[in-house]
Amino acid sequence: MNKNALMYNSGEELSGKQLYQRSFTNRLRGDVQPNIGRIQQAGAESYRESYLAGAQVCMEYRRAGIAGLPNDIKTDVLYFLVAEYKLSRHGWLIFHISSVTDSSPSPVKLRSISTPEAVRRTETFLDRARRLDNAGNTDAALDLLYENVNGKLSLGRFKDVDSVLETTEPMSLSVDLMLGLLTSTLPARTKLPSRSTFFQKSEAAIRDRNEWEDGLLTGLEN
Amino acid sequence: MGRWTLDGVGKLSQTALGRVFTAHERPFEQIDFAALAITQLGADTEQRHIGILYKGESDGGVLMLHLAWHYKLKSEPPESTYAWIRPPIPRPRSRQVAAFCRMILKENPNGIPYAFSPASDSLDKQSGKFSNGSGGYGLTCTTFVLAVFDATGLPLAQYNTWPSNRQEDERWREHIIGLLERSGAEPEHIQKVRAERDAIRYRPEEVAGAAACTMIPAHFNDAYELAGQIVAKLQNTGCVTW
Repeated sequence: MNKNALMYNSGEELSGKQLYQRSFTNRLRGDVQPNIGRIQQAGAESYRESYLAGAQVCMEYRRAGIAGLPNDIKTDVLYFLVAEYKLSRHGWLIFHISSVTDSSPSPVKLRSISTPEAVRRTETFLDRARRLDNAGNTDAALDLLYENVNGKLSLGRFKDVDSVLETTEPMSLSVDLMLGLLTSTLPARTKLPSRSTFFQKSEAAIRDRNEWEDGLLTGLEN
Repeated sequence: MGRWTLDGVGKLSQTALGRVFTAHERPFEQIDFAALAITQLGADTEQRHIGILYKGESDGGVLMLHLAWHYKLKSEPPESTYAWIRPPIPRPRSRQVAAFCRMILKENPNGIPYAFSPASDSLDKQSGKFSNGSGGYGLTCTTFVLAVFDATGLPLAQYNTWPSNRQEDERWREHIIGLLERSGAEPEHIQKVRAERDAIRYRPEEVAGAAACTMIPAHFNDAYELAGQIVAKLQNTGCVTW
């Protein structure tokens, strides 16, 4: 079986693109389509990924305050067996599904799924860095930040990093984390259009908090 | 500590080593988060070695990250025979240098080759990983230090003010190539290093001098003047590593 294809409707093999196209015309659309845009924004790299993640179980979980990462997911029309999850900045996303059918043994609305697993709140790498920093583990927070930013930029995921810069309010970060974001993104500054605004907001936030000192941001400009 | 005032181009009317300390004057633990460390190597009064002091992640202990030799990138507690220099950078920026040092160590588990390539050509500014494909063949202990600070937006030196083709540097390069040959470095690598014999040499004491200036990036003349004072301090205070 083509590894980029999925078993659909009890054995029919479809490519990623076919799956995506079908999502516009089949009766599953109502379940899948509304979530595709959000998943693409989260960095999905293929139609297949978008489609799979379109099940959106994790987003629904977060919205409903339900935690846990189930291996089998039932909606009223779909039945997924999930092989792998990956953490994105929007939380856990389905990365690989071993099978999909539309014959759910016991139809259940996605939002009604519950799991017995302990609550595990999803968080972005910046959330986690902030948590570590607030707990006094600033070096660990910076290591996490550098590792994540470097990892994304090394893969050419400039949009992902730019989105972090665009959506993060510097005032919510310590000076160390602000500088961490500005320093780790410095080599890629020409590919991160939101960095300039983040820089300006950072300077304003630092001055607002009376933490400004000469040279603090020198060399980090765009 | 003295404040620099320029009396003509490159002439310093007042000099001071206000940010250069021996380990006896101020223990390494008093670094902000990152600093430079320099020592004289043995009886050879012409050879110094330089590295970066940074505070470790777990226990706050000070470590020294340095390119000791061909593929010998080390992170270890510094010996007391090193003097250290506090660069003129705010403490929070110093913390970013320390974070980058940790990443370099992680990204280069096999070390970094020794060669005369410019700092900007050899170390990926994003990851801190040595990049053989970008035109650089390796670094010296000094260009390694320059590369680290450069990558964090804190260039220590005004590179275009450094002189090239100094006679004593030519002798030093021959000496290094001989050492590489005798230590079993790959013939292809030695061939590349030979091709870099015209590269500008940044001496350890000059980069230490640059970091001791009140403003960075430092002009060569300013760094050079302080370099002489730093060398004298190393020799007068017994900062010699055997």
